[in-house]
Amino acid sequence: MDSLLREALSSRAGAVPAAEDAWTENSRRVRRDARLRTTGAGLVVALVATGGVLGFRLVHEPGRGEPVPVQPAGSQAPAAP
Amino acid sequence: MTLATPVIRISDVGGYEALFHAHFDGMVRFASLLGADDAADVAQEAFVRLHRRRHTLRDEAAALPYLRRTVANLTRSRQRHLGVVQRVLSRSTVEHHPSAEDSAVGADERNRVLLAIMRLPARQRELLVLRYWLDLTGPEIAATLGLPLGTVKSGTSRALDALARLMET
Repeated sequence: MDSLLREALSSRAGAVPAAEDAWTENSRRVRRDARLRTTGAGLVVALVATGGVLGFRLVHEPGRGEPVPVQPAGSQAPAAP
Repeated sequence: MTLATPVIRISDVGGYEALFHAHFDGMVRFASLLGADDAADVAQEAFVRLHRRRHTLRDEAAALPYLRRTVANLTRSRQRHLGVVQRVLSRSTVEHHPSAEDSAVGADERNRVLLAIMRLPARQRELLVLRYWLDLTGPEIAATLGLPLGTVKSGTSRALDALARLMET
């Protein structure tokens, strides 16, 4: 059984055709992979930076961006305590 | 005097390319024996992943088990997600180009073995291919597949039993 198994696997492996231009294709894939990873890392940095800035403002500048109540003209200013 | 095999360092300039040229065809054959529908694509993807990790894997000795494990995992994953096992089975019988060797007595027997291997569960097929095609030892197979040695031994034994049963039917 062992030798039959070895023969069968070798015969099947020998029938697999060699890939053409495999190195060129691999170089292309490696470059694309590096590009995607760089883009992904850039996006992560941008997201973290934006989150950091927004978080900082939320903590240190509460109320920023909210409408300021306007005193109507001619109205009395609230009496001082 | 013994001649030491030169060590290919993957992170060296040209080291990755040397490793690719030395082992790409072998990885395509390995993927094909495991039943990959597009063995060349699986091997290419495995080498791209190796390239990503080339600074953490020291040399050829560390890279080869990583490549084999990646090829096995990618093949299993593709089979699971694409449901291609049946297609590969039918194609493997259609696409087999008979060589002069095949015309000799025993070709039928080899084809029966191959069909039976393709009908085994993926893990059992991996164990038999690593053991009987790559001639890896138990510990090497365990390191390649990330399994305990005992699991490799019992799994190989079960795979041989299953193969014998499949060939009887």
